Formats: sequence, structure tokens, C-alpha cells
Amino acid sequence: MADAELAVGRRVGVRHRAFTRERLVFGYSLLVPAILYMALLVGVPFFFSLYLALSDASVGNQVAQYVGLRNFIAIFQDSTVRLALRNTIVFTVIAGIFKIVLGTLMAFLLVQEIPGKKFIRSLVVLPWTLPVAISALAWKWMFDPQFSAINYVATRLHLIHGWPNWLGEPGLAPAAVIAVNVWRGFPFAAIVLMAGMSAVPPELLDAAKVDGATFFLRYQHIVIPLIAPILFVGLLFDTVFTLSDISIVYLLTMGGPENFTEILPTRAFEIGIQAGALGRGAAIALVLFPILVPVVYFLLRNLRRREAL
Amino acid sequence: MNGVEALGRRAALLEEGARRAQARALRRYVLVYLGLVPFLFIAVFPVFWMAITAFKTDADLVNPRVFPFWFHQHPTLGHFTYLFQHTYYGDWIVNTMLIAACVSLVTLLLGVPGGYALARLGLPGAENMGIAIFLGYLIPPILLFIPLSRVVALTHLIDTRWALVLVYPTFTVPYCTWLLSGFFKTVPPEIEEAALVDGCGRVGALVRTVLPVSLAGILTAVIFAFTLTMQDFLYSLVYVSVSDQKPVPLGVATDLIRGDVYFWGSLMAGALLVGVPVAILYSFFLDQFISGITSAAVK
Amino acid sequence: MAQQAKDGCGRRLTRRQFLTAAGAGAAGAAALKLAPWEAGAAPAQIRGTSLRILTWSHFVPAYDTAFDKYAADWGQKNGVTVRVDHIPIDQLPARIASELAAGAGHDIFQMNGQIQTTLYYKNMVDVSDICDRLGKQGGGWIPMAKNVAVVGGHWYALPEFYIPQPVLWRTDLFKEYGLKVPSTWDDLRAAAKVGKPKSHAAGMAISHCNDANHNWRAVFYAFGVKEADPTGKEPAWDSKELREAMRWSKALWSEGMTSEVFSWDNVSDNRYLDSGVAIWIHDAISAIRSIQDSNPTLYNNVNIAIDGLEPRGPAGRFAVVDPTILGIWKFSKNQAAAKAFLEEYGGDVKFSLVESKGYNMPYLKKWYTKPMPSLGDDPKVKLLQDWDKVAYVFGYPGPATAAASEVLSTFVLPDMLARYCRGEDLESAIKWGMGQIKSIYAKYKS
Repeated sequence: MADAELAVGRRVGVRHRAFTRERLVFGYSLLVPAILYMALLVGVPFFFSLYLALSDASVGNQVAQYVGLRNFIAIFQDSTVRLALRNTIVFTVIAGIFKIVLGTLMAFLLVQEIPGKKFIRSLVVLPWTLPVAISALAWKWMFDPQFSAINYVATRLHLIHGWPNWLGEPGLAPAAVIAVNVWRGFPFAAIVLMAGMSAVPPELLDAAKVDGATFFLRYQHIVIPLIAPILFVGLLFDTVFTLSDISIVYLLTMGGPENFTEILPTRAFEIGIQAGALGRGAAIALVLFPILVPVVYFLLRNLRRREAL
Repeated sequence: MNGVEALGRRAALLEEGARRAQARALRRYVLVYLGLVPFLFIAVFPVFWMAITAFKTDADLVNPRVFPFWFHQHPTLGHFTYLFQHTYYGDWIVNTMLIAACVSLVTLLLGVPGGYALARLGLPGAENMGIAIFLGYLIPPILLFIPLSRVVALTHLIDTRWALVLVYPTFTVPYCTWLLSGFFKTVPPEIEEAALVDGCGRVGALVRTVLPVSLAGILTAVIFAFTLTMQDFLYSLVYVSVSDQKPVPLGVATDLIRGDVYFWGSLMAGALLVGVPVAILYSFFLDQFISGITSAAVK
Repeated sequence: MAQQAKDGCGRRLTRRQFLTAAGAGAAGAAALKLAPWEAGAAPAQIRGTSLRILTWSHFVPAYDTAFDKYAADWGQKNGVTVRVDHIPIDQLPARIASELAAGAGHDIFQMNGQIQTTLYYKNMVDVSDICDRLGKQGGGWIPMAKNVAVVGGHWYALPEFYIPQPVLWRTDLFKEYGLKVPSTWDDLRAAAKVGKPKSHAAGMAISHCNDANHNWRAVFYAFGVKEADPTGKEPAWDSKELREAMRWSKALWSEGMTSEVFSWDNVSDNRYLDSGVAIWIHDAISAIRSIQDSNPTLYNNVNIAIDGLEPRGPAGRFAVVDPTILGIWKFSKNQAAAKAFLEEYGGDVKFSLVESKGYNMPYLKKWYTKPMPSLGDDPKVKLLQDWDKVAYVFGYPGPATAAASEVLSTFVLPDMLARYCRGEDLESAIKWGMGQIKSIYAKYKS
């Protein structure tokens, strides 16, 4: 009797181990293509970039000598880099707040069943789908000191006085840059949220409705927790993307006026490519890296932990 | 009260109820529309300006004394015809669509299995691997493009559109993998296990049960990959200098801006011709996954 | 643009069709007697090879078309398949950097405005033999040519052409206000002062753009400001002359310009002039070429350059120009064809002058004998024929070094001036600027 049990137990044990190993092999082999691609096309160049930041490389001499942290020390002594760092963080945070708020509000409105929904959705998504290279130029023209369409309309509506030079005033240019970033980005936030909301089983919501939960309670206790992971990753993605994006500032102000819209990516480009000091440019581009990596790592890990519960 | 009266009474009550429900719905519609107006305005007025510009004559555009949001002189189709007759715009559209489609495909091929593995299979170290994939984002393209040049050169794809198909997934894969993994997580494991029990095998279970239900997530991933592809400028600039291989954003910005001279009309026409169809596509797909695809999940 | 590659029926060719046609042409030409090639013997081994050229999108679009045809014709004559790619000027540095990183791309590449010879020369082919020959043939190079192409006594690039940025001024307005033909910066300042209250201010960008860099250097050099010592190693900005130049410039701005200039890009001054507002600007002639047909009245009322060419300041007349040079990558697999092309194109200055409608200015002295092709016949641009007498490049009096290039590309001069104009104390603004410049030069010392 005991023998039989033992035999069965052992066979189950073997099958369980085989099952696990099979699962592992399957799992890793699914993951391998993505990992391999990123390792070759991002990982390897990244380590080379890291080397660049630690060397005195120039565009004409890209494999130069190791110089340790000299580039990082040099760039922190550069007041423009410090300004760029501050601008980068400030712009990203402010733009991020606006994008979340506007995106959330719009998502709620757009999931409603109203006539003309499709048409409205395709309209509000346009800022996101138009290529940034061109829409930034369009905004540049709309901010033009001579021809600004915005000023033309706003002065006639008595919303503003005088004829502000949006891209030429140190106080206004950052606002202009942030505005364009928000304009482009809030449809994305809305889309992420809408897609996330679609993952919420309607039965849960119906059950809650039957139980008497109000609109806000339903959203607070059911929808938000469920879409939180998607929302969160979307937010993280957008933040990281904004931190490293050069296009809007490059096209609108080139970092001016007087470096008031200078951000790390534009400074890195100016120094690393246009001036040719690749090592220092790499150091500027990687300035936020030591902070971002642990932060992103821990945030993502926590996300996973919470999901596992 | 006799039977007829009772029926009549009931009909009246039902009608009353229906009218009230209609009134409520109408009120809701109005509220939603009102709520949407500011968003529509913000999102659309620059696009409206771009559209007007695409049809304005140049002289009309540089006249600072007239209302910029409407025509002073007759609208013209000249900018559109210029695009197609005097630039490689036709090629650029083909390139953009081709690149976007291929990149979406590659992204799915890498991201769907990757996302699934991360979401489901509880692999040790997978968590860290997933995070590592995401960390790829933290390296700005303005830095990455230099060492990446050598990699691209090795494949001999420089100055062809395929170079872009090779490098664009570097920014679509991380996000889409995570997105898909998030979607896969919301799929109840029971349906998968049911399929396994039915003798499907792991791949079969994945394909037959998880994928159909995650169509929402997959479509989202495709749309994001598509959009991100069309946003890039830097990589296309450094890896493609041949005019007929360029995608639209690069082609338009390089060939329609000659230092001092901006061909505004054609620039805007070029942007709209590409951006508007994608926006329309978006609206269709958004509808797809919001209108109860998940209902198919619960059998 | 599309017009660069058309088949016999005028239809656009795809790249594949173009290459095929060129290949067929080479084979066909080889079968027949080849036309003699005047400038020297084409090495036989380049026949059947291919050559790729990277250059900018010329501000005169017709030049791109002409150049592409020129290159194709040269290719046909010599049995070489030639392809030319054009990208905007601002994007050349990035593309060049990535080509070197990749070790692949084009054979010949152009540097334009942002001259980085001192950074890249170790990876560029020594073309001293070509340049010496062309110099002899052409009556000698103007001094500026060496500043942009020579490192350590060797030529690493062929100077292609430079772009003058003269004063473009409204003769009708000057007449209306009773102003004499301007000859000095003070004349221009007076004119701007008169024009501004009448809604005809002047305009020079004080912002992060190429024009700002060049325009204000012209002013500052005219006041005697020197960027570096003649070797280019030590910065020499900080001087009494700098302070005079700053004071004068701020006065010019506050009396005769508006605050718009703080947000201007390279195109803004063109628009300012073309819209009829500006009484004068300081810009390349493309600013008015673009309205030659669309607004002939205005075109006729704008003159290019002034009495004495470039406005005089206390230290003389200094026109700071935008140079372009052509280099050959050491990794190019077809250096022979590249050198052959450069030598022929470099000597063909007439082509450059004529097809660019006087936009491209040569570096070879002999071509300044009047009347110059294209410039000589057009009364509007005839003053440019003496431009070699006043042409200078950034970095003056030193060469266009990497350090000077970095000062240029980080817009230190416009920023320093902008700070001062906006109200910062003169010494404080200068201290900031010098801080930036000194630390830049320091980095290149090691």
C-alpha cells in the first residue's frame, strides 16, 4: 500500500518537474527574441555610449582614451548644463501633470456612448498622429513674432494685451515649449487610459452599479486599480520619452532665448555633435541616467509585486 | 379599473419612462459634448490652421494683416500637386507605410511572446529581464544613434528604408512588450488552463485562447508602433540620405525646407495627408476594443 | 529634389532606374569614343566604379538640380556611377558624425557653416596635391581658404564656395527719410533709428541661430574684437574693443530694432524684409532672390551691399561669411574617383557662379577679375565681385578650430549680447560669456 503511494508520488513528482522545466524552456524561448534584439541594438550601443562618456572622444576620434569622470565633472561646472538639467526636470514634470489631467478627463468623456463618437475621437487624436517634425514647425509659425495666429486671435478676443513674443521671452518660451509637448501628448494619455478601461470586465461594473455604487465610487475602487498598471507604464514611458526628446525644443527655439529652453538632449546635441565633443555630449545625455535607472527599476519591481498579490 | 384601462395605464407609464430615459440620455450627451468642446478646440485648432495653410496661396500666408484662420485669396490645390509632381512624396508615403507595417510586425513578433512570457510564465529572473528591456528607453536617441550607426552599417542597410525597420523597434519593443504583458495579465488563467487540459499544447493554448481575447492590447500595440514610427526624425535623418528612401517626416522636412525658404503650404499638405488617415484608423480601432471585446473572454 | 533625376521623357527616375541608366551610359560611352577630359587624365581604374556625394540642400534650388546633372555628366564621361544626396545644412554635422561611426556612407561629403576640419582631418584624405594644382591654376587661394581646410600645413578638404551675407537695404526708404547711401555701421544705426518709429525697424537676430552668430561677428570684428590669437589656441575676446562693440550693439538694438529678434531663426530676417517691414537686414542674398518674381516692386527697392561693401567700423570692414568645403572620407572605397571629381569640380568655378546665380563665391583669386560670370551682368549683385577683400570666417584671426566651432555652435556671442540687451550689467554679461569661452578653449588644450 505504502509502496503504491510512494510510486504514485514519485511519478507525480517527476511529471511536475518535467512540467516546470518544459514551462521554463518555453518561457525563455519566448522571451529570447526580444531580449536578443534589445541586447544587440540597444545594449551594445549603450555600453559603447557609456564608454564615450568616460573618454575624451570627439566625432573625429570616436575610440579615444579613457578619462574617468572628467567629462562629468566638466559638465557640472558648465552653468548651461545645470540650467539644462533644471529645465529638463521642470518641463517634464509640468507637462506630465497637464497630460495626465487632460488625458484622464478626455478619456472619461470619450468612452461615453455618444453619437459622432468615432468622428470626435479621430479629431482629438490628430495632435498625436501628426509627425512631430511638422506639427512643431506649424506651432513655430503660430508663435511667430510677426505673424502669430495665436496673437492675432487672442488680442482681438482681448485675452492678451500687446503682442507677446512667445519664443523670444525667457518667461514665455518655456511655456510655449511645454504647451506644444502637452498638446501632442495628452491624446496619447487618453488613448492609454481608454484602452486600459476596456480591460475592465463590464460585469464588475454592472455588479457594482447594482450594489448601488455611484459613478465616482465605481471608478475609484474598480476601474482605477485595474487600469493602474497600464496607466502607470504609460506614464513612465511618456516621462522617459519626454526626458530624452529633442524635437520640440530643437524645432521651436534651439534652446533659446539665452538657454531658457535648453534641455539636456539639446545641450548634448550641441556639444556632442555640432561642436564635436562626443565624450562630453555623451556625459550630458547620460546625466540623468544614474538617477533614472534605480528609480525605474524599483518602480517597475513594485508594480510587479503589487500585481502578484 | 377594467383590463383595457389597466393596459392603457401601463402603456402610458412605459412611454413616460422611455421619455424620461431619453431626456436623461440627451442630458448626458449634452454634458459630454460640452465637456469635449475645450478638448476639441485645443486639439484641433492648430490642425485647422495647418489645413487652411495647406490650401492658402503663399502671398496670403505671409500677409500679417489678415485673419489667419481663413482665406483672403482663393484657396489653391497647388501645394498638393507640388508635393506629388516635384518631390518624392509618393515614394515617401509608400516608405512610411511600409516601414510602419514592418515595424509593427516585428514589434508584435518580439513583443507578444515576450509579453506573454513576462505576464504568465513566472520565470525566475524574467522580472529583471523585463525591466532591462524597458531600461532601453532611458538612453536618448541623440546619444544612441552614433554607436548604433556601426551596427546598422554592418548590415549594409544604410541609406535604405530597411535600416529604419531595423532600428525603430528599439523604441517600440520595450513599451509594447510591457503593454502586452499588462493585457495578458488581465486574461483569466482559467481559459488557458482549460485549453491545456483539452490537449492544446502551450503554443496552441496561447494562440487559441489568449490572443483572441487580447486583441485589444495587440491592436493598441500595433497602433503605438505605427505612430512612434511616424514620429521619428533623428534616426531617419542619420541613416537615410537618399531621397526616394526617406519616410514622410524626413522627406518633407528636408526637401520642403531650403534654409531660408519654407514651403509652408506643401509642408502642411504633406503632414495632413499622412496624419489624417492614421487618425481615422485610430478612431476605428479604438472603437473595436472598447465595444465589448472582452465579452468574448467569458464563455 | 525630384528634378535631379529625370529620364529623357522628363519623368522622375527612381534610384534603381537612375543607376541602371547611368550604368548603361557608361557601357555605351566606352563602346564609342569618349569625349576628351580637359583638366587631366581620368585614371582608368575608376571606370565602372560608383561615387556617392553628400551635400546640402542649396538655398538656390536650381543649383542642386544643376549640380546633380553636372555630377551625373561627369560620371558618364568617366564611366563612374555618381549619386548625390542632399540634406539640410543643419543636419550635416549629425550625418557626418554617424557616417564616421559607421565607417560607411558617402565618399565625398560637404561641411557647410559648421566647419569641423580640425576634428575630422585624421579621417579625411589629404588633398594637398589637388589644392596646390588648383591654387596655381586659379591665381592663388584667398587667405580665408586655408583657415577652413588646412591643418598642419596639409589640405584636408577642397574649399568649395562661401556665402556672403551683405547688408540688404531699402533704397526707397533711405531716400524717403533723406538718408545717404550707407557706408559705415553708424550709418546703418542711424537709419534704423529713423525707421523704427515709422514701423520700419532693422533686424538682426540675437538668438540661437546661424545668422545671429555671423551678423554680430561682422559687427564685433569691425570694432576690433578678436576671437583668438593667430594660432587659434588662446581666446582673445576679452578686451576694450569687446566692451565698445557690446555697447554699440545694444544701442543699435534698442534704437533701431524690436524685441522680436530674440526669437528669430535663420528665416525670420528674410520674412522681415520680404514683408516690406525691414529698412535693412544683414543676410544672404537668398532673402531677396525669393521675391524676385513674386514681388518685383520690393525687389527693385532693395540693394545688395553698400558703399564700401561691408559696413565700416573702427577697425575696418569685416564680412563674416559661411564657408563650404568638400572632403573625402579615408574609408571611402573610391578615393581615386573622388579626387578626380573634386579636381574637376574645384576648377569649374564658372559653373558654380553661373548656376547659383551669384550665390556661391569662389576662393580662387583669378575668378575675381571683373566682370565675374553671373555677378558681372546683374547690377544688383555687382558689388559682390569685390567680396574677397572683406571675407573672413569665424575664429578670426585664428583658423576655424574646434574650439571656435564650439563657441559658434553653442551661441555664446548671441547669448552674451542678449543678456546685456535685456538689462544685465555689461561686465556681468561679459563675465558670463568669457566664462563659457574660456572653459571651451581649456577643454581643447589637452
